Amino acid sequence: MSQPTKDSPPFWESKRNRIIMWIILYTTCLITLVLELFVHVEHPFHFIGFPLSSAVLGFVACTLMIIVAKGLALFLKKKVDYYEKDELL
Amino acid sequence: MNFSDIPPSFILILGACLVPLLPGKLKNVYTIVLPALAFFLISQLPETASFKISFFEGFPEMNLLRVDKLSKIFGYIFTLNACVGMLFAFYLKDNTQHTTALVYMGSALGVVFAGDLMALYIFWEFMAIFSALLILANRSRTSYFAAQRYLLVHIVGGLCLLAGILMHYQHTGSLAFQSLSFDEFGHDVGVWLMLIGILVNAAALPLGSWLADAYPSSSVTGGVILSAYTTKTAVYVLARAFPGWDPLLYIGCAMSVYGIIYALLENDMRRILAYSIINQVGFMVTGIGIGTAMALNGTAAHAFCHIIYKSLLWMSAGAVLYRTGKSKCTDLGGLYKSMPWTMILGTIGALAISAVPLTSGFTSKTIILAAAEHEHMGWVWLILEAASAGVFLHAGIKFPYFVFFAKDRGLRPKEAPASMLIAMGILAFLCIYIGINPGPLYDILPFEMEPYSAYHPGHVVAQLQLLMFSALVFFLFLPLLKRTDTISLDFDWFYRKGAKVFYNVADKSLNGLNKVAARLLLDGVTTRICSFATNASAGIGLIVLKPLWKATGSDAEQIKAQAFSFTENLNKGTSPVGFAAALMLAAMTILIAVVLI
Repeated sequence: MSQPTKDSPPFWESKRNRIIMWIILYTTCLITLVLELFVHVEHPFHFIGFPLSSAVLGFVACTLMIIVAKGLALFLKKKVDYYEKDELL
Repeated sequence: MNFSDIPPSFILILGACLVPLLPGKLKNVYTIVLPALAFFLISQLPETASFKISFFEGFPEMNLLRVDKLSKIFGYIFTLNACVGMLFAFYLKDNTQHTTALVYMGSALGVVFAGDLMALYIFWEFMAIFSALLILANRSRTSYFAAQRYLLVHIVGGLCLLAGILMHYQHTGSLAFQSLSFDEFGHDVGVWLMLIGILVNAAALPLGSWLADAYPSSSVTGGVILSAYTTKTAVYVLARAFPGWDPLLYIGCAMSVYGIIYALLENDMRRILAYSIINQVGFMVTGIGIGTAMALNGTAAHAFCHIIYKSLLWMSAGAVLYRTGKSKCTDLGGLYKSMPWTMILGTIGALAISAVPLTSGFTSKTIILAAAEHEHMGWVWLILEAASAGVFLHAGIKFPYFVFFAKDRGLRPKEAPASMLIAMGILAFLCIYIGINPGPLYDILPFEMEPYSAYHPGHVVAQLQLLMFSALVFFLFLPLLKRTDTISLDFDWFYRKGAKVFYNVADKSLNGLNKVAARLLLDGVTTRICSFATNASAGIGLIVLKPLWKATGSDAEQIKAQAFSFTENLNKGTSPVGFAAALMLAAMTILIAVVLI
């Protein structure tokens, strides 16, 4: 095992690099949306039958999952030794 | 009997016995050769092969070898994964881990090629025992208790399975391991017990919290081996016996979402991957619930590819654990500099599990969604599609981000050993190869279906949108996803806390009753009866003599001394025989009278 050391900071700690990465992320998302103008995307069901539906589904589903997870965390998250003091099983 | 009638499980189970006898690296080479041999044997097995033995009198012969395309595809991936897993473990010198792993994997092969329910059950229990031993082989306090809980849960599951098999046999007179239609057996208690027993192994909600408890407690290589077999043998059995059962739709969909939610809560990287297994098995269980040829093919293809990329993910996590000794996201980060190959290969696994186009997940998992689409199951398709987005969130991005990037903790471990990198490289290659050229995989799928291709331009664009906007959500909500050094309570809370409550109640009530009984009966009544019986003769004599002594003028001190002397003489046998005998006869008469009354 190695001991912690300090050398050059990671590339994402630079504000400039972080901005670049956000630009790349948003641009990539935009490209996937623009592609739908050139490619026919089949919508298998009527409730998903609108343009950019996959993007909306991905965004909404993940947002909901994070919100649910954070809500559950309020009463499910415990200290790491929660079971240890009663360890029988 | 010829070579092609040997059950592949025998090669691993019997071959494991030689492991402790082999020296040094020969042992490690041997552990790779054994599953390779089993892989070759499976490729040569004709569908007519069988291996029957008489086991229980009164029961039909047990068939340990039933070969068809469904058992073969699982046999191939089990042995392939075993080879690569043992290559990953090339550094390991521990006989216990090697032997238990080989027997465990051999038992899984036994389940897959079992020709009847009794053979299935025997190998099922072998799997439970040897997987528990593999967890114990980590030799830590955590693994000791985790293995205990694991064994208890799997004993309960195994007993459900056994009870179900016996009830089914009594009801039908058959131990055939075959499809049980919901219409015919949907109200059969025995069949439901079998299903429950199998769902325990599949880590189905709410019976599956053992997985995230036990697997991360195992060793570096133990986790890699364990991640593949128990759950996927359950998937195999479900696909064989319960295709088209509607309850599996609900269970599978629930598993696929539950796995994501808990993976988002977790701090330990191997617990994240454990919940990810539940999420992925949820897709497979849903495919079995759909029950069409396309859905079952999708399940088989997904199981095949899942074992590859899940093993790859566990290997990358295992390599990090091996080098740093740490598994919590709060202790890790910034490892991309010192473990670049582990990061790259692990990221390929992360992309594959997320079904990014050009990876194996895209060409396998999407078959299940296509099957849901074909059957017009809108709600099933929607949940699985949402879960596909969630997979990218928790496994595709979260796992590599917090382990290799995120906050640089200053850790600078060495890169993983060569054997680990080669093993990961092989699996990463397969993840990409199957993604680009899924033809060889589709050729070994068990059921006939119309040709499938994932690479319609519209499908690719839709998948890219789904994944990129999932990534956008991750980074937008990153402040909410910061790791904390905590655990998350799961359904095992009921038996972990419940066990303590049960123990305390049993202790207070039963041991309390014990103490009262001991005090009153053993120490109290029994002692007094013994004392009375011992001194009965003297007591009766003193009842008569004390008043006489008092009448003759003896004082209290003299009476006491005379009583002591009398008792001593009687106990030593120095008083007159006739007198002593008369006293004893009187005592016995009184005792017998008391008993009779």
